Amino acid sequence: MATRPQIAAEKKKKIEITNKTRHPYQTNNATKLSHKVREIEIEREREMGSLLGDWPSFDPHNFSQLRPADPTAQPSKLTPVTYHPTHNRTIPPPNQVITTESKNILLRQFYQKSEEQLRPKTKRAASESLMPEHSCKQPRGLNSDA
Amino acid sequence: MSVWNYVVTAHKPTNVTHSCVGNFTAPNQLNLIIAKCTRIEIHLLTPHGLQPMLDVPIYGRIATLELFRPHNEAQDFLFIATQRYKFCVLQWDAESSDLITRAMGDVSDRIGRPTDNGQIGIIDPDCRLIGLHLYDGLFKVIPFDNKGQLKEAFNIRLEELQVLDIKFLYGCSKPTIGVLYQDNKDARHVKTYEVSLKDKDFVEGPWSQSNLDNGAGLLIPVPLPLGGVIIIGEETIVYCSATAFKAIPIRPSIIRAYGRVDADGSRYLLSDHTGLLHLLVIIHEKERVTGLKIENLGETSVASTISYLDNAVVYVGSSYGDSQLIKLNLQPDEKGSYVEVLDRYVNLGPITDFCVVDLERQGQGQVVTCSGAYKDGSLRVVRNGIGINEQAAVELEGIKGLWSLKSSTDDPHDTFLVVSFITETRFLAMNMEDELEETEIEGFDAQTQTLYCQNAINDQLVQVTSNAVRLVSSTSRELLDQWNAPAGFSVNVATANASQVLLATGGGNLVYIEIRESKLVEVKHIQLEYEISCLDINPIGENSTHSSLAAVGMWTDISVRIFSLPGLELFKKENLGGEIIPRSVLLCAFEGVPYLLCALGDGHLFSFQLNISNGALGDRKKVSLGTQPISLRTFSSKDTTHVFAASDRPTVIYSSNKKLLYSNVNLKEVSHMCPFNTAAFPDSLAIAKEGELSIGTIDDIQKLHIRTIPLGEHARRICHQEKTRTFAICTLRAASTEDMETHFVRLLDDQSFDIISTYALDAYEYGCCVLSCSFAEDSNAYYCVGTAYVLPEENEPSKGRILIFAVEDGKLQLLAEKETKGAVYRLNSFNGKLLAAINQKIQLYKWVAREDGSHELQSECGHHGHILALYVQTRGDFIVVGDLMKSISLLVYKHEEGAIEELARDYNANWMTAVEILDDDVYLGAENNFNLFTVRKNSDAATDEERGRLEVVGEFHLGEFINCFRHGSLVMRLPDSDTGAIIPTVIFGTVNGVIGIVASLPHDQYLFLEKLQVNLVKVIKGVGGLSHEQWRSFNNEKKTVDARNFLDGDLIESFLDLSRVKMEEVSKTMGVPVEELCKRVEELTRLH
Repeated sequence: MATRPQIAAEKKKKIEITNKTRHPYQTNNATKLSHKVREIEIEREREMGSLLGDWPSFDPHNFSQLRPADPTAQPSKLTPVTYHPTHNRTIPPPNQVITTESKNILLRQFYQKSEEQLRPKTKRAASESLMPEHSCKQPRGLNSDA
Repeated sequence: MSVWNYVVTAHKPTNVTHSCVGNFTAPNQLNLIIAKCTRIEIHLLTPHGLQPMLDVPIYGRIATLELFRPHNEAQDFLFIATQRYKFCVLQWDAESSDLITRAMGDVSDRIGRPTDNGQIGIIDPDCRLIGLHLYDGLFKVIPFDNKGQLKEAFNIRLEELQVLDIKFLYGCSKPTIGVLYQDNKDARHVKTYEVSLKDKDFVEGPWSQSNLDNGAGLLIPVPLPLGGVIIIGEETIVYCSATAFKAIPIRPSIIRAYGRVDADGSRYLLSDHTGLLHLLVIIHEKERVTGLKIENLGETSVASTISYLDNAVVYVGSSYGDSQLIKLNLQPDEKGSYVEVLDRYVNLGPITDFCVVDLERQGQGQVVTCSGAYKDGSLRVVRNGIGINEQAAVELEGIKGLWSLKSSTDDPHDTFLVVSFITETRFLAMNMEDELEETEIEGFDAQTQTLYCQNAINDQLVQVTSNAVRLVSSTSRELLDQWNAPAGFSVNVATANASQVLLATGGGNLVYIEIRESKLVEVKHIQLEYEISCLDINPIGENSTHSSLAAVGMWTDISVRIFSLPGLELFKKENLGGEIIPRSVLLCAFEGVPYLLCALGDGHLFSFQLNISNGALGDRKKVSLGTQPISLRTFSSKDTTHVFAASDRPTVIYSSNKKLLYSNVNLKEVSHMCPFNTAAFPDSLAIAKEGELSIGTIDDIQKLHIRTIPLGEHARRICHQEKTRTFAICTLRAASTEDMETHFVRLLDDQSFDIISTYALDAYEYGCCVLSCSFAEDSNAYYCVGTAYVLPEENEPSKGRILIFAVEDGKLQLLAEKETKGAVYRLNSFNGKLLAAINQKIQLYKWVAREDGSHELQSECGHHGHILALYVQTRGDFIVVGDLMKSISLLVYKHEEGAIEELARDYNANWMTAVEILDDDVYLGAENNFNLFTVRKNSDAATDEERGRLEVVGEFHLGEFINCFRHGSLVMRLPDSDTGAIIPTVIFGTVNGVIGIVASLPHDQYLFLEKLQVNLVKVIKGVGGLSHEQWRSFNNEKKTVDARNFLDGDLIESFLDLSRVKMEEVSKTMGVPVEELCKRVEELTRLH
């Protein structure tokens, strides 16, 4: 990452030099205008250069020999070999056949909440409006599980 | 009875839905992994570009695809989740080149409302858990333990019901998700939650952001050191983290695909709905984000996925157009684009409609599809087999042989074309004007038939005639030496290569001659017990001018023999069986594997693998290519050797993945062929056929050929008219300024595909269907177009038109129009009248002549009782209707009463996407949960109630969304081919760009193949441990039932890709020899 600003700075320098050399020859408004347009262009190029430069590279050789396909040609078809596994390792290790916990999500929460409540017995549990409903459903859940 | 059906893919899916990049096959290799709905492809990045490694069928529609790196692993693992709630984790075993399943499972819940906005599957960047959002209000967690093993999954309640996107944030001490959601006032917000694995619950996260862009739809998590997320809206892009908030406006656009460029997350590629590629940059000073910047880079296909590969090369995967490999240039091109397209990859998806035509009139169907969407819309001509593009032709009757000769050994081009007739031989050569001109080769005998001709070493030419072998200098063209047949004998068959000649004279005499400098030397002579019918000494060893083997075909005992050269010792004798003599033998090598091909007089061909050192033959296979004698000849195309089998059904034999493949050539009958490579006609073939000699170039060698005709607009319906040799298409084009679309009917020439006429529809008027037909008392061909006025304020169109066009002087002329009270979804030609499906109604129109000679449509009768009658097929007086949500119903037209009545219906609630009539009693339907089913008319049932019900007789999960069925075939169908009677086939086209076949099999064949399928499932395992039975089970919101009366042709045909050992395993359990199985499966492959 450290290299990118450097490259950008170098570019900037070059462009400035060209600007200076052109400057003294400006005379009329038209050239001034075109110069302005050019400056904007240069500005954009410079900005784009800094944005577009320094693309990440994992292996510099990748795509180095690739020539662009003829744009008028028909699109190509990549056809890899089709894989038909006949080995036994398509079956995962026995402990890696994953299922979802069978306990109902509501019951789990009730248990958790009740455990929390049981611990700090002295303090009134969080002043939730759910409380009355809670106390009614809790034993039922426990019974059904038993 | 068409109850027993066989479903097979002729063209695999090409719609790219997902892609990712990582070190999958080795730590030092970079791979691109692409998902094409039901398949994944693994590619390797190389200096020469993308190298395809593997195409992996997945028993499911891929919902998410992610690469991740568990702790202590050197390579990435691949996580795949399917739409039917299965998932698997795959690892590459480089040693055996196998995909190993590390984990798999079922993540479905018994209750739960499936998410509207698609399934989300994400992996914590620190590999602590996998998160899934599959049902509204639930977030499923699959935790990793500290060894990287997955543990039991659990659900967490998610308060936000309308989730648009969820992503894991980087650099959080506890796994943290960002949730982009919409509240019940349609405002959009982002919230963060920490996942507490201990409590199995959410804890309020570090930050939230409310009231975002109303079109916000995509979250991009930003890696450390910056962290946070980018929220992509339709009018703004926002960077958001616990400490920073930056926003920039953008030109209104819908951005659905992004690709991260830098590992530190400072640059991203974004693609919008018009295919514009943008670079989004996070401006930052060290770890502090100071702003965002977005730059337009140029145009690509509309992307569904973007993967930055390496060294400024990017993969753009598309659902709506061809996928592309692009390079990001530092300097803009003359159009101001920084994007350079390096390569394009065919995508037929979405196929919205297609027609089957025989443009070359050679008895073989071609499919012309409406493919792609929006600006990437195109027509694609899909043809099976290889095309010869004729460059030049001359009339010449009675050609008995063809050879090309060079004027010197090292000349890259051919000069002469030797054409042999029964009583003479003529020599043609290219003159200065690039014309074929008759010439002379002085040393050659022009007064007799030539049996063989060849360039020989040392700038010499060889000609074999019935009485002599002549050696001629190719420079002076003078005779150097001559070998004469013994008195009383004449040469019957002969062959040669650059240094050897082998010929047979009557009485089983086999003579071997070597070509030396200016000399022919008879080296060996043996006598065989029978007459010799054919010979070959094509060099396939290391020496390209000399063969150590000779192949000889015999009369009487119907055998092919391999002899050594120069000794002419018998290596191997193979009896072919039967009574048909071999007419052509050929030694050749495909992909480095030597073969012996032997063609019989009845159009059959044997292939054997050949051991060069001892002449042993193995892997005997027999196929039927035609009905007439075949002559075999090698030729090269793109530096690869292929074999041309000239017969009444010319075929190119080639090899792919070490498997011999046979491809039809688009010519009717070819008697002889030879390669003819000249400066004027490079890489061409000279072909003798039906009184004509032609020169043509050959298409790339592959099974299905696709020609693209870009339209730049979205084609939705297509129809061909034989009489005027035109296509009519309904298209739409988005206006550049507003949301308005303009719809057109366009007329195309069926040879050039040029648009020759256009009819613009009204504002808000959509072209819904197009039909070519003629009427009862008017045999002229018309195009009928059904339309709908789709007004923004209406839920269903209440107005439409039927337009009747004639093609006059290549122009569309509107002859009549009829206003309708709804959308005209479908038009059919029916009993010389026009049958229209208009909203809920089926309506029949007569074509009535007026006094002034013009015509008009007059309503005759109709039938109500559908939700929306979207798909209609007819047969005789029967009408089969596919309803929006009420499955299939059967109507009948009663002539006497002039009425249409319902006979029967299927009472299931299937949402139809296409219907087709298989035969009088059985109808095929496709519905929007990617299933296929068949229903049967119960006309013999006892009660009215039963007769009024269409019985479901077949069910199958295809995994593809079918838009269109058409009767027809992609291959030349000969009634006398091995399959016996012609198996009726229906072609279908899907959203993923699949072209497939439904073939109705005889019952005994169905039972045999069903047994084979059952046995194959045991041998060919599902990748990731996914079950084939579950995959193919019919499944919708209401029910899941096992597939029945449909066979999975893709699985059955993969039998041919199995190793011999595995084939034998299947053969053993089936109790059927391997050869028999191969033969029966190969027959099936010739259905498509």
